[in-house]
Amino acid sequence: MTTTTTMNPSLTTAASIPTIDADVHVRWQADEDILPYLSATWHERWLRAPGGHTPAGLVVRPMYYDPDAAAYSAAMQGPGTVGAAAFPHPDVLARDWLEAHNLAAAVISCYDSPLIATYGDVDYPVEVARAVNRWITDRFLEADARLFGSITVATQHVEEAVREIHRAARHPRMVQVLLPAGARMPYGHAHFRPIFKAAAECGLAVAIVSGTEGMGTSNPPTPSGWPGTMAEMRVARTSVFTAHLTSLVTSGAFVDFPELTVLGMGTGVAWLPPYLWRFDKNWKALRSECPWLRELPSEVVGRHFRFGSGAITPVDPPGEFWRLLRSVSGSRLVIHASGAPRWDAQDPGSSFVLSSAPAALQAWIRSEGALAACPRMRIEQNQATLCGAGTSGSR
Amino acid sequence: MKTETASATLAGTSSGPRSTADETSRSGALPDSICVGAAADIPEGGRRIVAVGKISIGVFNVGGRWYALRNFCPHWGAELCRGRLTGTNAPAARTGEYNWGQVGTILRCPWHGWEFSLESGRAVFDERLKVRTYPVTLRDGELWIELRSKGGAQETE
Repeated sequence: MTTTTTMNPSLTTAASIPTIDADVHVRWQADEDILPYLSATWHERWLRAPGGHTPAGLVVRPMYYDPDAAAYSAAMQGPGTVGAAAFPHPDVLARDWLEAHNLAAAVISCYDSPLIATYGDVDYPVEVARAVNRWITDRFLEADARLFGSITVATQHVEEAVREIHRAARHPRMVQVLLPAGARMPYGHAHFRPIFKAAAECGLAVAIVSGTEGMGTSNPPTPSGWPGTMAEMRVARTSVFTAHLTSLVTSGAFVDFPELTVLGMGTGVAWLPPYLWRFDKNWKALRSECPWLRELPSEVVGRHFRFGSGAITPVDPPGEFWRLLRSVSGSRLVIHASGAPRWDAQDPGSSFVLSSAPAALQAWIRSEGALAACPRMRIEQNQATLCGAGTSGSR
Repeated sequence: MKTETASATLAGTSSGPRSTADETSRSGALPDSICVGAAADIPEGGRRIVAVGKISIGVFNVGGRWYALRNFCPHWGAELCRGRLTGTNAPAARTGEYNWGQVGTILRCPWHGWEFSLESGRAVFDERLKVRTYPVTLRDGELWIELRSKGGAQETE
């Protein structure tokens, strides 16, 4: 079986660039799968918790109407083909996604795991985070060398989160720390700084993922209050990520950690340029409040933030989208990240971003951007070779 | 803060500032220097805004030092010299580092809050952006703005 794009001379130039999918979701098949990684104290709670989307002792009940809420939990118990919320098995992931779309590698994360940082409890999410990280390492990273992992942390207990980052990062293919967009405070706050420090020390990126806004103990998904429908929610919640971005920049997270990259997953990006126009403008007058911010905020964002292509809305004509991005700090803000296997995941062939991006940006979007954001992925630079080896070795 | 304004224009008004050469009306050019009045009339912390031909200049007394700047913000043209005098946190190498300085010599535009150094006329956020500054000289108790020479504040006696 040939999975490497470089081996196929019939493909176009763009398609011959190795492609990394920086956002693929995985999940356990049965709740019992996690038990070996969880101390006995927590087994009952884990198994008796509401199933499906929120396997927590805390019922996370969004206050808006979500027509697919039931479908999510049903889909996730199923065989896990594309269209479900998460891949339940590395072989399924490899067959239905990596090989189906000639992907050289994927960064995976546990679909449910960002939620645990929104639990009101402290000790339980600390334990669950560790269990999920150990499980994803054993189940997925050890099964397929094309897969790179995300470290789940319980932000409720920063010391434990730091310890867990250092522990989980001992696996060389853990490449990023995963934080939910839904949070109790913006991520630039001093409370979270040790988490970013640990990520930087380990050479990990930090991915802030959309989808948990308003859940658990996090703030409502809009600063004006609760949306009433999913239609309202999905558009309005952008401001949650916006607040994290602004907080990280003004608080000097990238002064503290000049090598750190923060990834916005599922956040879109077309809203960003006009926002940065304003951010830049205000900085000129208010820079004395954050004197360590010594350059335009758009320059900091252009250097330290990357956005997954998955939730980027197709713009007609597409040239307008790229023109908008060029208006601030270049176009290297976007990397290919599908959010697979969700129903709206874009494979490389159908991706708005890849199909419309200028030729000069293809390599960046397909792989260079992710490799630069996640320094640990450089270890696996020769994806073409690894790809073939991983395919035969993991079956 | 009290701001005095000399409302008269240069040419032909008895109450207006005197100039070294009474040539503005003829050539349209500015005189070499212009007298803005007795230094004793502008107390420490005070300022006076004078019209010179078609332009406006602010003169400031900060701790006994004199400064003069164009009364025009390069951003949107606000009357910069009506802004608040304050200090600023100098650009810092590390987070959490606040170096409050240039106390009393940072002029904040009243419209959008851009900070300018009274000393250099330069914007704090970008030194390439500059407001014209003029040397101020003190002759026999009178303040003179030197319109021809470039440069910042000057202490003379």
